[in-house]
Amino acid sequence: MQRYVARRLVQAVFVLVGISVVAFALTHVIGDPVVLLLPFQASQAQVIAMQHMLGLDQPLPVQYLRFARAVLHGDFGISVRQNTPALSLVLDRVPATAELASAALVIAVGVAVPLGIAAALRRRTIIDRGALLFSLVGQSMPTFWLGLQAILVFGVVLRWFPTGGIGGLRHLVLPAVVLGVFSAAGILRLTRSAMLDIISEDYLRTARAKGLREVAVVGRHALRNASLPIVTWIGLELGTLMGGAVVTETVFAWPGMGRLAVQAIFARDIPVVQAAVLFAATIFVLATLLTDLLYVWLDPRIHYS
Amino acid sequence: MPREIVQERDVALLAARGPEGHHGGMIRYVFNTSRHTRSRENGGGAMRLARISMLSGLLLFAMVGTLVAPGPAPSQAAGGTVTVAQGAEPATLDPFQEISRTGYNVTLHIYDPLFMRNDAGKIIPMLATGYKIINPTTWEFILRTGVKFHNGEPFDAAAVKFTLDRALLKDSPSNYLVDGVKDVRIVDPRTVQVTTADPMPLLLPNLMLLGIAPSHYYQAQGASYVATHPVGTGPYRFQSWVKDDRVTLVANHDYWGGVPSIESLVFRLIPDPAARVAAFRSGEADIITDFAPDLVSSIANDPRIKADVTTGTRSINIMLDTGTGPLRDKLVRQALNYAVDKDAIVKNILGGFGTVESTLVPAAYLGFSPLLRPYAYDPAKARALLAQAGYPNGFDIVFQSPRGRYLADAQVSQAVVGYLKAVGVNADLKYYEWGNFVNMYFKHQLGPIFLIGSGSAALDAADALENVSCDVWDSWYCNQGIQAIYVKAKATLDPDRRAALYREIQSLVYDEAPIIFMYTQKGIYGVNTRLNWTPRSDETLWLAKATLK
Repeated sequence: MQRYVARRLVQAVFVLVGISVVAFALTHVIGDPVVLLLPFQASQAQVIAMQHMLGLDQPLPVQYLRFARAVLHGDFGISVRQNTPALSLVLDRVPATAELASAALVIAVGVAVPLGIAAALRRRTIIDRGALLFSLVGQSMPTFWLGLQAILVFGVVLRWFPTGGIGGLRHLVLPAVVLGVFSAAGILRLTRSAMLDIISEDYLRTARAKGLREVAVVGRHALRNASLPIVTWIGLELGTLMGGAVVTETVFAWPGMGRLAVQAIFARDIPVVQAAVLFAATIFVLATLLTDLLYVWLDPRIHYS
Repeated sequence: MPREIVQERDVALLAARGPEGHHGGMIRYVFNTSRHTRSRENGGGAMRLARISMLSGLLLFAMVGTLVAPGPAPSQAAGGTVTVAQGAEPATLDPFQEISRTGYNVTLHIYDPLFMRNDAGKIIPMLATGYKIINPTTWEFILRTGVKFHNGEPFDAAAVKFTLDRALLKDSPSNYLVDGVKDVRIVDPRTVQVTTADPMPLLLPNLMLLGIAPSHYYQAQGASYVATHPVGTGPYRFQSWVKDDRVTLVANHDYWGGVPSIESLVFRLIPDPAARVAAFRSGEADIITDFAPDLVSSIANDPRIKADVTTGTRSINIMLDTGTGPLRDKLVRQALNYAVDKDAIVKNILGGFGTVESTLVPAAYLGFSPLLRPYAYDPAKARALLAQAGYPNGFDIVFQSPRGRYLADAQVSQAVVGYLKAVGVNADLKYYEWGNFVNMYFKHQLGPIFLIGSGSAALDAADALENVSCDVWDSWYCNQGIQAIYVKAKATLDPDRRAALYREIQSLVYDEAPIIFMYTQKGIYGVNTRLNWTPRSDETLWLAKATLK
């Protein structure tokens, strides 16, 4: 087990190096941050001076090695646009991002898993059809549209919640629900189909035959066996949400990771793009590792060696 | 030796200075106009320059601009919070680094510049109480005394020199404001002399965009720290910044210009235009900028909020690369100007929130030409001109446009392409993400036709006319006759004479049509009626004099 974890972590390092090379190359291909930093009135001499100051006049491999060496010393460089250490810009966004991601995921799981189970157990009833409709609508409704409608109804007309920004729990409700609905839609469908796969298994019939209560049959026997794909999905979803939810963050003016990363890309702010991409990749790698480790606990038949 | 005699209007600006001068009273300036005659012998180096300027028809030593005293200081009763929501956040709060309009709106409240404009657009003294033009390339600034930075550091000539020297570094984003300054010299603690390589009429308007920074604080803390912990002399002190969310400022109770009436200013970032309007409607934001035109009607029934419209300074134009293909021909370029129904575009796509322009200089700039009338929409004439130029069947060409940078930019480009097609010019429309577009712009890879916006923060036609001058990277047109006037205008200190030269250029540019002249976007602001405040046409958001009802 320990060796397995160690091996996965070593693999993760290679994954991260690969991702950083790709991200580095891509940000350079799409252009130069300097011209986005300067007004149109700037002279060519000024552009060249600034490129030189930022080291952008060096060959790409040299720039990458310089960057990699600094990263190994924990230095992601200074944001070209914000003149602040790139890593601290990213780490500053972690609390807000984690707050939104975890709230959305709790809402999504809290709604989707029970509804998915109910839909599977009451197949082809009104409950099932209602759940499927919710899932369809949740997946296909654009987040920005749902977000704006929520803002108009609950923020402008009813004034129950603020229209955006970060603050207390009241600020969290609307973005978390909007983001949660989208995640819930996927989790619901998966829960339902995973449960349906298992519901006709012999061991469930046996469990019922020996007189177990339905709650125990579903909870201990069915759900536990159906949970592997659901847990996998939730793990991936957590990794995705921690990388930032650009659209929700934009609509609700939420200071999260997604907007930071997207703005950095728009500004060709290479150090921040690198820091954000590597952070998101690290979280994703860890989330999948955690998911794999959860398998062992969920299914005793699984061993890693 | 009449030719050696120059007129000098020696301006002594005697401001009622010191803290006692600001309590409710008007600050008064005495303009002491005197005439001197000087001979070549006692003129020295300055006189040589003077003669050069005389040749170009300069009225020498003219006072540039008239200083107007700021209004009476508001009452001391500070209180309340006003929240401003903008679509972007400052990248840094260091005025050297931050050159965007949204950032300037925040930093201007923390950092005073030497001069500013008042609501009517007149130049008013801030940290400088006056200036003298000693000769066409030497400016002397007289500084306000008794002013302290928020950290207690005294404001003096050293701070001005530090600020200008820092902006002068080639790798400073604000370098463009002082490009041309040769030397900054401290005469005494309240006097600074700035020498420029050539006469630099834009020095004064450009200095309005440069907040004065405390040299000791900057040198002790370093640029990275200062970027998030700004210290100026302005009406508001920095309190906190939650990145990507809000910047909070509190009133500076020691402000030399009188304590602001509003105790606290919050600059919030709400990137989505509809969400910004929602925050405005719910009362969470008192002022919003870049009000989406299609949402203006949504607040019509609410008496607590209103939309204020200003003339605006952002012009949108369609550039033509006049060095290649059919666009080399003036008749073709005129045809393209006749082919596009600009009124319809402004009316239908911008909801009427724009002004069709006759050239690329909007009304808010020094040098606007009110006599020219925009090219009329006349497709028949366009076709006739194309035929006359030898293109009876039109031609194929590439049209490039940013998407999502300017108000409805993609739709506007699409409409223009439609109008061009109607006269036989088949434009292949290509959209680009802004970062790509700017990179191509700087590398001169755009064209032959592309849409771009421009704005002069200095409110001077020189910035706009650069697009039709020679020897710069952001021009696709060169005409030596126009260039000669442009060079002369750029060295003309007297604003009236400069404006006249700009108008002369525009008459020529109008006929040459090196650009499809389009429109200037109006500024649309949402303002809560609990505020006594009106937005300014120069896009500057200045709340130091605003009050709550």
